[in-house]
Amino acid sequence: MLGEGRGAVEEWLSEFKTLPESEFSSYASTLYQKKNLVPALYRVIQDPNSELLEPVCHQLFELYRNSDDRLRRFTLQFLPELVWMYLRLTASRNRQSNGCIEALLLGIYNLEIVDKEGNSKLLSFTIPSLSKPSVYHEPSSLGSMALTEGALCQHDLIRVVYSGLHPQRETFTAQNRFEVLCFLMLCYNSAVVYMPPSSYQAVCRMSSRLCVCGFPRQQQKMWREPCNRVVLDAEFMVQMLTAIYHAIYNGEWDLGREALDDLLYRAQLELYSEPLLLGNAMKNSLPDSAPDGTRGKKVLQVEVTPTISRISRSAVTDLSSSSHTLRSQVHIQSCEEISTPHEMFLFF
Amino acid sequence: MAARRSGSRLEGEIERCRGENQWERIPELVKQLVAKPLQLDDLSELLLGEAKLQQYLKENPIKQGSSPRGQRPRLAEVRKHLTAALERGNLKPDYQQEATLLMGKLCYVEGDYREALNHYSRVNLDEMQLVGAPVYRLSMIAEAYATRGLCLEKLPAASPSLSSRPADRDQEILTCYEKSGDIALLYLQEVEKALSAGLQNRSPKPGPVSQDQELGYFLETGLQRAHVIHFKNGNLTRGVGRFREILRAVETRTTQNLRMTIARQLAEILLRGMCEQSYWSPLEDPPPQSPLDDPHCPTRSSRDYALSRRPRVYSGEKYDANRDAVLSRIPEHNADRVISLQSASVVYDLLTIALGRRGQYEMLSECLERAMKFAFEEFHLWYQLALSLMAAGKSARAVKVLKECIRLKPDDATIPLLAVKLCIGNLHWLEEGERFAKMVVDMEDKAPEFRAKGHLALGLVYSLKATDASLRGLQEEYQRKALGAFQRAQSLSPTDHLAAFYLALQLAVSRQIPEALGYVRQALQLQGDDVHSLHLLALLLSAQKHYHDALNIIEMALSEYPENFMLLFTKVKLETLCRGPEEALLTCKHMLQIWKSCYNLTNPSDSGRGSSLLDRAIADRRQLNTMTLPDFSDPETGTVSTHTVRDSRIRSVCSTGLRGSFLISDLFRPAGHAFCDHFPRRRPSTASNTLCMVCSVHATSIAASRVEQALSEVASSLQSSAPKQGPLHPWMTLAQIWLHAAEVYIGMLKPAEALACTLEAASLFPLSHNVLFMKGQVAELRGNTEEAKRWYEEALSISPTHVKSMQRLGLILHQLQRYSLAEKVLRDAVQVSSTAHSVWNSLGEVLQAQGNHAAATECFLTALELEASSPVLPFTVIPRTL
Repeated sequence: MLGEGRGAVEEWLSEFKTLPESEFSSYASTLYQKKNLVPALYRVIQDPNSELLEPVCHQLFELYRNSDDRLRRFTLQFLPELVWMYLRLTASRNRQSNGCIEALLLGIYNLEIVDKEGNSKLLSFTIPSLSKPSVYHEPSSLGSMALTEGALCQHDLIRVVYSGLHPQRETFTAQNRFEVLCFLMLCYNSAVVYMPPSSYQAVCRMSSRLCVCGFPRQQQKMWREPCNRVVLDAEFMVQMLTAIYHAIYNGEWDLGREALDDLLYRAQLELYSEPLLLGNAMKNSLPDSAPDGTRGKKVLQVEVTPTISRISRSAVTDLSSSSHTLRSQVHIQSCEEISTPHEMFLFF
Repeated sequence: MAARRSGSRLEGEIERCRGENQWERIPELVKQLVAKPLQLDDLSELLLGEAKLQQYLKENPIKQGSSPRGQRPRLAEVRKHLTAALERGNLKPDYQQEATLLMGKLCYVEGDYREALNHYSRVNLDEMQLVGAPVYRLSMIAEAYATRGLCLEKLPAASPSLSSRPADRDQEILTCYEKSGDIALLYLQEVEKALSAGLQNRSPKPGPVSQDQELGYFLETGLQRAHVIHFKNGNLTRGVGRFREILRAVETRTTQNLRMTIARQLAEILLRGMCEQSYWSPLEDPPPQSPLDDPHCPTRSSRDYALSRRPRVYSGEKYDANRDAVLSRIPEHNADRVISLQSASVVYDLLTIALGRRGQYEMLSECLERAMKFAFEEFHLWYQLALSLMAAGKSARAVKVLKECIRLKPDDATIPLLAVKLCIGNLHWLEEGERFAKMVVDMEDKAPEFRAKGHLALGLVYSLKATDASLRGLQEEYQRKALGAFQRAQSLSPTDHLAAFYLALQLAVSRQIPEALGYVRQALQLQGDDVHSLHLLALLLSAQKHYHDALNIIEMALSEYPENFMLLFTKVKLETLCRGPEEALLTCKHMLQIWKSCYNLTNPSDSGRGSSLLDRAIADRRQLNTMTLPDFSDPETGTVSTHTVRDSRIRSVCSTGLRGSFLISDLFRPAGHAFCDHFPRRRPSTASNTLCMVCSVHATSIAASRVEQALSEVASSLQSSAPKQGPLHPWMTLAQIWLHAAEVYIGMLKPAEALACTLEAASLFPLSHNVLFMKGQVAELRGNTEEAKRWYEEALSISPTHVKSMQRLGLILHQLQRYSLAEKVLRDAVQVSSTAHSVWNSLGEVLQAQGNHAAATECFLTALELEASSPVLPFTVIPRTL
């Protein structure tokens, strides 16, 4: 390891210990200014024989236990690399050097599954119910396309729990491994916006490698280190896809697309429908061309789009049956009945 | 008629035409106007100029990003009119302003941006009255703001008319567009109002049909350019804010398309650029400092500009914030009017991404199914539908859709492979599976890893067919084919542990134990903690009678998979053999605890995994005790809850279990509903498959387990519309645990306890052949041969090929000295399962009793030989899936 990097890590290790609680938040801002600390930490994590690995993991956990979001996110940025190292060492059955990474991952997991009061977290989100008639699947019963109060009221909101009540875990077993890792990736994805570019690169690298190592496709890669195949779980692959998707649009166009392709390759071989489904959707909806000045550039742009395309609509009307024409007449009429604005709520 | 029209009426008509963009009618109306003895020459010039300009723009619409047109004869004409209107200065101030604005627009169209700005600087746009202004004027002002913004953007920064700092300039441009957008929305709302009022007043005469408003280049720019600039500058916070402002405006028909576009774009931004922690709901203030915003473009705090009138906005108190919600609305809009397949498929892709990452495959499959009206010959949509059906567990439909996918894209190996996976899964459509697998194998030019997968699939189909086959010749044929296919797969993809593992399993099934051991070791080298490989290794060791080694392997495997019931069942068997039944009973107790913790603990969380809380609430209300249906009821079911267990040992087995909701009868009370309803997807895939295999080692017993399944499906369909895959397996697991405990007790010669355990299982699945068989065993232990015979016969009537029942029945018949019938039953059993050594042994005994010594010897020898390679549980308990 390079001397200067090591120096930065050692300094980082010692200074937090002496820090009084009142200075945490100012420390958080200085932490992000240390340019060579993060690459040095990556090098420590990547080297299972480094004697610094254990104190580094310990320190990262200490930061994660802190209540300051920025300190927690500092640790979280290394999650992809940690997961990669963990899974890789597990596949190679080299368990002993794995201990402190395992402990760190389990520590983060056990912190994240509970809320501040120590109750199990229940993560949920809201979607409009599809069981009610909507313009979408029963347009005739609704009549109008307009967003009327009535139309919106018919959209019952359903709160859906997508993750929650995970038990505390003391150790990793083959059985709970991906349950823990999926949840960790979920945490990463829920803060992915705050991650630095190096972390996006790490997540793409992790995904690519996990998906191809031990498969013939690895031969086409720059990275040829011999490695056993790593078992992957469908849900974990979905979480990786979510992170990759974000990376693609936020500066890692090339790496992200490569990772997406590798993940699809693996999902095809494993015959996992979930990652295939998401990966296909992501690939299909990618913009046609790479953004200019690729690296580090966000691809989040919209264009002024002509909102009316008369031809296709009239074509639809011409082609469609008489019932369709009827429906559009109904539609126009009921639109006209709405003369006053309605008090209503929207979903966004 | 025209003459009779009063001046004001005429003016009103003109105003209406201007508001409704009926420019072609203006010249005619102007003629009438000029005929009037009023001083309106200048006004008519203005109107003609406007009409001609608009008509020109209508016929030659400006495209986004196109270059200016330069001078055109028709535009020169417009200029003539407008100059004429302006130069005399006789116009009323309002009209004066209008003429100036039109001049500005004309200049822009001609490409003279500086001149356009000069015109605009003559009118104070900000002071123009919006309240009470005629509709057309709103449009004019909106266009003027947009045009001004466009001009400012086009002109180089160092423009004299502008403030010097570029940041201020950018801000000014944005403000122009935002104002333009707001006024445009207002205009559209007013048009709609006027239109509907007009239609109500007028009789339905065939007059000018109200067309959908066309926005035109300037208004569209005004509505959209502001957020485009925000995102271009990397300012997501304000871009999203602007989206929301537009979406909150009361909808008009003209804005529907705009709304669709913007909703889609908002969804894209939210999915690609935000995460849970950075999201803020429309009700909250945006975060002051957001990582979403490009740090290089410092945001300046919000620009509050005053408009005398704002577009009406929806002002409900109850905004519910969710980003996925906005998405789910889009397909609704989009689906009703297909803009094009392109955008529909983009929207469905976004929906897939949003719902998929939350595991809502069920809902997704429903949505995609409705997308199928766009899907004619469209591979992507078909494939996505198939995958979503598969992810939602709707296997049968998925296979049908996959067939269509194969037709559309015959050279993709993944699709038939997915179909095989479903076919040999719980569908058990082996014929179809074979066809799909052959398709893959026939694709010669594929990469080796895919071809290997094809051979693996084919091997699995043959292997399952071999298990199903009732004729020995056929069985052997399939086994040979399976072995060949696995060998092929293994040689094509030597680093795939599955190929080595299934090869080992197939060898084990054909009792080639040493070879099987070799391959299972190879599989374990490739994948050290694969549960099935470990299990197979243990079974192979037990076949070699190394029970202690086998037990060690099982215990090692259990340290990695502590909740794997399949391993635990094997452990019970092995413990009975090496450590005595007491240990085995402890394991049974442990299993009950695990069962309870697994399905109890995961209960609230898993409910969210596949379905919604709402569904659960419905399930709450329904009751489970309807499970004892008249058709399926068993005379003993009613008494289960009251039976008491005398022996202290079984009490120790059950004591932990019986606490709380564990008493079986309790489970059927409403309070205990929750277990059976929803299960996380992961668990059934391991524990449940196992159980299917445990229950149904043989073909027809698959049918029998289907009876069990049907029965329980009736029960589960009564309580909710939960995913069909889930609800059963925990109960089958529980029944199996009780049956294993019963078996251990039978081994200990304790019929009462064994019966108690059996009854627990019977209360879950009264018609299971396994339960009936166990009852027979208990009866036999008690010396009630007749009763035992009756139970075995009942078991066989449900599952005619249940070998164990056949074997016991044969023995009883042998005891009853009904030799020929015994021989018949046992011969049938041997046909069904040629490797069951105990059956051979019994057959030998019967033949011996009949005096057929030569044949008996033959049987004994076979039994002996088979016993030497017989595992504690059949190898086929290990699931064979892709």
